[in-house]
Amino acid sequence: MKNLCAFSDEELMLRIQKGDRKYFEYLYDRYQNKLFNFIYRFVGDREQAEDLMHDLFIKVIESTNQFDTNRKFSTWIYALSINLCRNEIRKHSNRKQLIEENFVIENFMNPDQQENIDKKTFKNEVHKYLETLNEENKSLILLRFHEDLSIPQISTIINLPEGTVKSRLFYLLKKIAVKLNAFHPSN
Amino acid sequence: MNNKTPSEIIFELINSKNFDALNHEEKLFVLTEMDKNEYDHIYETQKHIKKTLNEKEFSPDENLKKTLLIEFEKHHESNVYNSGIFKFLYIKIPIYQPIAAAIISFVFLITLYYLNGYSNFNNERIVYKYLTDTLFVQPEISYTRDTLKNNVSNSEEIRTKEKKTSPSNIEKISTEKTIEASLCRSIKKDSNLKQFMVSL
Repeated sequence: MKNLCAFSDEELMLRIQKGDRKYFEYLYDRYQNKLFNFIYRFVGDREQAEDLMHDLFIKVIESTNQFDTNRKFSTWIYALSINLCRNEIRKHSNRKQLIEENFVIENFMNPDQQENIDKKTFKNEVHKYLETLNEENKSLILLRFHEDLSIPQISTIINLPEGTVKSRLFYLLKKIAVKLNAFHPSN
Repeated sequence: MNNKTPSEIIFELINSKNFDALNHEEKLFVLTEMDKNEYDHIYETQKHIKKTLNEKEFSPDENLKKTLLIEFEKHHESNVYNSGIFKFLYIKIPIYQPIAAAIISFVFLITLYYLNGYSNFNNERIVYKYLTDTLFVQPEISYTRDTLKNNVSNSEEIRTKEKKTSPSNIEKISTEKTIEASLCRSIKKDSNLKQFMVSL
């Protein structure tokens, strides 16, 4: 029998459509951290992120048969996540700020204290800046730099032409670079 | 490169290499849009953002997985009941339909029962008429009276009816001898029968 690791997401979905719990469990394990971190960074609240993870996978269970196995599963699930996050943010417009402590690295390998402080400040500023972005720009940054998705995939998820995705990412990077210039660890 | 905007091209370059790694043509192109420091700064920022976002990973609650697996099983169980024979068995219909079907079936069965009872009653009457009439209309057949009676019905009910209603002179024939005579005897050989026929 084929090892579960050898199955692509789409092959797993084909088997999940037949109601096999084992494959669903494996697919969940494969995506749970990626998606949870993505959602957490999107909404900025752990509890909310867990609720959204639950809702997301319930949606996956309910619409398993609607999934076209010729499509890429990751594209489909990230599109679902973004929609859920957007709806949630609209519901709770007064969303909480990310707790800065969550993003502090406890043990730095570099002994230079000043550099550690710079890194810490830079990280906090990155997260703060992410909070100020609108949903679409935040999706772009997270999908590209957190999920490491390709431009064609992001283009499908966000429903924008590839060229527009690249241009937007470039201008976003440019803005962030200017904004965080003072906190940049290399300065 | 021709159909792309400068920002698209620079984004692709920033994604892959720093300024020093660019070839001459690429450097010239970048320098039309920004200086070397700006390019490198954006390149570094991109790397740092990537690193920052992927530095600390969080995991969802373990119970979430358990809940989802239960939900998965529930969903697929209900799917089983929505397919094949179950789909037919668990079809939802208005309550008046089974009630109407039950009433129609009841009326049909009652009608059938009474019609059947009436037809049995008629059959009994015909048998009785045939048994009593045969003696008078076709005297020869009277020999087979007991045989006929046996073939049609051996029930005590018919015998009682016959005894009650048949004339006393017919009853006389119904002796053991007559029964024996039913085995193809002729009138000539049977004096009792001859006597009976004359008496008619």
